[in-house]
Amino acid sequence: MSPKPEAVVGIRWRVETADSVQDLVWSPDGRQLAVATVSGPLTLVDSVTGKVDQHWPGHAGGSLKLAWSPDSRWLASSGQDGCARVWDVVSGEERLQLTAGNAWVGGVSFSPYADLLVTAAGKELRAWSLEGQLLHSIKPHNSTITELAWHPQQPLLASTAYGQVHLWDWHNPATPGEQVLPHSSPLLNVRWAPNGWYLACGGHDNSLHGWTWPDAGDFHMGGYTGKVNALAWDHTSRWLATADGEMVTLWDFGKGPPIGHRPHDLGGMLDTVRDLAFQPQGLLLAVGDRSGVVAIWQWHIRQPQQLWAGVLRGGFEQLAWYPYNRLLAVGGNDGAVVAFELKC
Amino acid sequence: MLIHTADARIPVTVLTGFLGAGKTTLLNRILTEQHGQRIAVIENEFGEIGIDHALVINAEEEIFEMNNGCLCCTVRGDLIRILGNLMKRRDKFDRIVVETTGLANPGPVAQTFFMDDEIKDQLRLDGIVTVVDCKHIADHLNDNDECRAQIAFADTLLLNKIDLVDASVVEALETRLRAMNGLARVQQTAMAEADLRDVLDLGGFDLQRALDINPAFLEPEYPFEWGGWYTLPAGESTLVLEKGPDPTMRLVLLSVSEHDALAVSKETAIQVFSTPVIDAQPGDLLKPNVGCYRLHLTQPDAKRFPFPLQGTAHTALFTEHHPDEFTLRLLDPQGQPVPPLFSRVYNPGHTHDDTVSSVGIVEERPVNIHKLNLWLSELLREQGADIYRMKGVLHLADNLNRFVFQGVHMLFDGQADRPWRADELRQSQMIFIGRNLDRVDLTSGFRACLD
Repeated sequence: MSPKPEAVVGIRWRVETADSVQDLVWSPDGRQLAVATVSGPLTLVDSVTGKVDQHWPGHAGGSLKLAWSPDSRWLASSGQDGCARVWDVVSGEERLQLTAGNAWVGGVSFSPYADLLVTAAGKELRAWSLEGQLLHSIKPHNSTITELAWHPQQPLLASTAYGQVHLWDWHNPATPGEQVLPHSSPLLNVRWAPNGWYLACGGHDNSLHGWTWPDAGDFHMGGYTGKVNALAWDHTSRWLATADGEMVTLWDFGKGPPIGHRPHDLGGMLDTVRDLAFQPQGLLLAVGDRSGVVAIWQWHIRQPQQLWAGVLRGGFEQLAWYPYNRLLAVGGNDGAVVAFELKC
Repeated sequence: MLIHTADARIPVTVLTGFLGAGKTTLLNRILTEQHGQRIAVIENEFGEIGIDHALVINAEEEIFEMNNGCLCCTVRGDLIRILGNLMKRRDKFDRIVVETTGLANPGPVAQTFFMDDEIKDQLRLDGIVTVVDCKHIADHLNDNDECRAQIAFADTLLLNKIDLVDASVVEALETRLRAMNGLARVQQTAMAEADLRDVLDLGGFDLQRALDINPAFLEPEYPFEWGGWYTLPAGESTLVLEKGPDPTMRLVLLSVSEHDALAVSKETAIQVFSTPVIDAQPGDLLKPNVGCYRLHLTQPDAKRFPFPLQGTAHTALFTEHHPDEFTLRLLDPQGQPVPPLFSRVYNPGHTHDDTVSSVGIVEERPVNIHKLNLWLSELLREQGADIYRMKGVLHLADNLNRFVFQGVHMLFDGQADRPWRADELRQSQMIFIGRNLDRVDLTSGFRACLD
């Protein structure tokens, strides 16, 4: 018998931000949660108390992405004003303003070695020193870049756009070992498995396209009825959760790419899934849909089972697990940010 | 999936037209006159928008093929991204206007609103408005595919800059554009001073309003442009023609009973027009009911064709061109001109040889929906790239309700509509707008679907 929902999950704190939550990222040290809103303003929240530590106007025309430096000292943001900005989270000062090359700055990311920052604006990638000096720029795609993802163990950055994944070694830009993995339609997102063996991308053509690494053998999964607009790996790199429309599907990579095997079907949410994520060190999977339903799934006798579900009245946009598992931050379409706390 | 009523979704107006046609002027007028509304503008070209309160987003046109190799499934990737983001904002918009580049084909823009589920749930493509520069359009129509597509996709055609050209040029252009796109409302403007009722809230893709079709357009094309009905006395009447635009003109003379309406004799005339012609030089005698004459009209002065009658006769005359083009007169035996008792102009099938055209079909016999489905899916598979838009109201066999449908290229949707009213003529009306359409093929294909 399942425990009562209130025995499983409680609300730790709740904060109202300016507008629909566009991005939501915990600092690597777990002390703060950064929130970007669709019309621009940025908010920094203390993870224990829920108190607002900083508030910035963000980007005119709207903010798009957030990224923390690995030491949790700096927060980078990007938006529709053609800029990436770097904020000092202690003093609250804006440290850098980087001109990214196109009005739509859809990606910003610190390298895992904390020595450079990459921006993606339109079709262009630019690498910056942490002093704000432009180090390098390339235009590897022929349409707007949708996402960026660093390889977990190597200085290799994957970027996706229409028609391809592009891989580039930013620490050896002279001999970058550039590689292109082709796909015949727009790729919406990209995620490395934590072990670095797989790269998975969701397609606009109702398919999942992945590659093994470093041999770049590809695996292509069909059977979706809508575009694959959310992806998440679990920390063991065995499970890949994907969402298309209201459906959530789990692929088992325990014996390599599951070509020819049926995935686990978690059944439908009530509306289009906006975001999903596994616990950083556990096996719980959180899923949120546009209508505001947030559900947490667990493994129960080799089957996924719904542990808890709640509703965000103002509609759901984004979620993020706390680095140390027990908190789940959920951002709504009305600007509400709620930190749910696991009690089990 | 959430269920939205049509009016819960935010309307989107797409403005197309060549650079310099007046899109930005029209946009500024929309923003000024609709100042009570919150309007978001997505621009693909830098225009001079002179209004502060509108949210203006500049976008770079990006065309995606959703399915590999299928041109009919191309969408605008930048619009999916920007509109998706816009829909999340707290400051909701009453209306969105997308201004395309001058050289844009509206197909991918339109398809974006049907191919992407999230966009489809929240936004409704209200209409495509094409602004036409009357001074320069003729050149583009002849040599530019995008320009022809902009005309073909339009729900409204704004013939702009009429102050810069002769009225006769505008009239000829309007006739030509109507033949290409029989669905569009046409408005003539200077300085893009359009009546915004013809620009906003068009319901151009709304099934409930699927058939606001210009009824004259739905008529078939005729091999003649004019028909007249005369009562002539016994004796030798004469047909007189002056110099006209063509060296020959075909005509058919039919003797008709007093009660025959022109509508009845026109069916006979259509048949006679398809028979081999009888060449006639000036001075040759013309007789009713013998066939289709081809009058040779090259000699410079007035050309006279005598027309003898035994007794008072009711006569119908059908001419390939409008009689005014040749100053055609019918003189009685006393040499007095006889006006027709009544006459009418028909939609001739020969005015222009544009590759883009509209084909309208009207049939009263009920449609077998299964046959229609088979025919339409085969038609769209083979010619979907060439069929820009289609709309229709169908009279289905064994069905009390009207069935309405509309489509863009290979994408189409249809649904049962309200019941037929008792006083309403139950008939199917369909219109196709496309490139290289074969009227005979389409009509016979549709007729094969009738019960």
